[in-house]
Amino acid sequence: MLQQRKLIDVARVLRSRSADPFVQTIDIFFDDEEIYKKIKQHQIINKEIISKCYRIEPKEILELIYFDTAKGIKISMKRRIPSGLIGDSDPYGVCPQVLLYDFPIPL
Amino acid sequence: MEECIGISVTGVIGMDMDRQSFHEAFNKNKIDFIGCDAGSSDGGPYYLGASASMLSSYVIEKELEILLLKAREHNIPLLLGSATTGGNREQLKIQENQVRAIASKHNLHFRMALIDSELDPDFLKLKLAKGQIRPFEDGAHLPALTEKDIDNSNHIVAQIGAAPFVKALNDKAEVILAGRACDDAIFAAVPISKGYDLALSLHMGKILECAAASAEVHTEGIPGRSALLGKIRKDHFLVVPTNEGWASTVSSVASHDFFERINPVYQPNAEGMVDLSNTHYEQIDPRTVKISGTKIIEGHNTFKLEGTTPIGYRSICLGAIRNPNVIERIDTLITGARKRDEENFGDVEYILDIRKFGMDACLGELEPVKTLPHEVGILIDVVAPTQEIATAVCGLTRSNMTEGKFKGQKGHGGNMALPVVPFVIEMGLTYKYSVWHLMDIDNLCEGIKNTYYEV
Repeated sequence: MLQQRKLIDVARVLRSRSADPFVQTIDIFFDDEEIYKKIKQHQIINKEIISKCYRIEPKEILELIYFDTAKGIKISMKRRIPSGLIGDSDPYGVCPQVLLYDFPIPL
Repeated sequence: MEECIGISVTGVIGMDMDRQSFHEAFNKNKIDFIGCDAGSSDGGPYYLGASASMLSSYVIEKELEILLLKAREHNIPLLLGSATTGGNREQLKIQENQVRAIASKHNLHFRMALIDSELDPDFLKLKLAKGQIRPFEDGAHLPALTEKDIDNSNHIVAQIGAAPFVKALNDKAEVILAGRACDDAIFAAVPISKGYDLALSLHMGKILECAAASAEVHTEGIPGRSALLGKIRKDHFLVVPTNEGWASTVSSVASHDFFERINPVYQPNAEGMVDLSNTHYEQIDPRTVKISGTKIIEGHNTFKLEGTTPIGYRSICLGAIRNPNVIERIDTLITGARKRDEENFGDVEYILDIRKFGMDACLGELEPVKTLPHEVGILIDVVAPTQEIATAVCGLTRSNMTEGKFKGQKGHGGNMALPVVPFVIEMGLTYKYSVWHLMDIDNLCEGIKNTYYEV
């Protein structure tokens, strides 16, 4: 049986930040080339799981890019509320990555 | 043209800087320019709309003084972009006044350029009529711009690239203050003016703009802060933090290329699309990274436009709940308070938002954790057509949350503590982005005014 680990335990960095007042981004970086390659090869992080996790339409995910040079994944999506408007608690968008912490990575 | 060295002291002026390693860097290197970002749109539309500063002017002036004295001592250019957060004309004036006050205090004399990147409505309407203002095509931003959007906006600024800075350098400016500007451009301008590669200059700007945010702390203990040096040469550039307890590493620099960008590989600038698909990062000593291979796809020159319009007045109240008897019934209490508001203010338009910190304030309906906490922070947030109405709605909601009765209530001393007096804080006008569009430009300085002063 495959062993499962949490994304937060296999990633070097898991962070979120607004790219602009309308766009939330999440960056995931790995130290371990093997783990990064496996996640990329099997597209373990994909638009479907992001759309489910953040309850947005797949078309509202602007980018989901695997970037080998940095052993990283960039996810950009439409913000639910633009930065700094009433109802927004997080103009810099620093919280949403926590929803991916426990995401299971089969290894 | 052997190398050109720039220093970036802090991500945004007024955010704190490491003074000691900044001064030491000048003893160890022949630094050619000091750059500093002074703004951001990350906090949302308020600062541009209200011509307000996100950071304290007290700290900004202290840091500006250090930078200006150093630049004049070494007779090198000082470049600042996105004046006083939003970079509108009034915010540029605020920064100009700060610089003039420091110059007069220290009897400094220099040639100063002001780059005004706020655009006039008539100019924008002409560009709109020519079909040269477009929405972002990703569906995440605003729909197509209208003349009415332009009329309703109190400030519309263009995010300029490096060209207006280069023009100011060619016109012998020694201190350059710009309105809204791309952070990268502030640091790319001097290298570009000296003939270094455009793509590498802009890429070095991208790494430098957040100072040592792209570096890691390598020593135990209090990390403090650090400036970042960028050294550009013919076919590569180097980055290294000034604080010796810090290091640039291949992974820290490469991951910084992701930071605050929609796409890490293709990054739009006024000058064209910076292409990082063949960028190479190399660790040349334990604290220094060498970057090469970055390209630019020139053409399709654009400015990003940012504009704001007031949407009403805001009032807030902070509350704190410790009583488990109340926390169990918090949603009933909130619904009850909202109902009282509807009865009292049914004839006026307002937006009321009540957030529960400790429960779901950060993630809203996405919050998966449902266990009740022992303590909840409350934010009552109201936007209404007048300050009086905003304060009235906020105040009444506060009273009904504090005094509200419910079945099973044990004691009626009050449901909610009020940690901040005055209970209702008036925030003044609040804004939204009315403009967030792309404008095609006929040249890289179109609509941008450079003016020069002998200080």
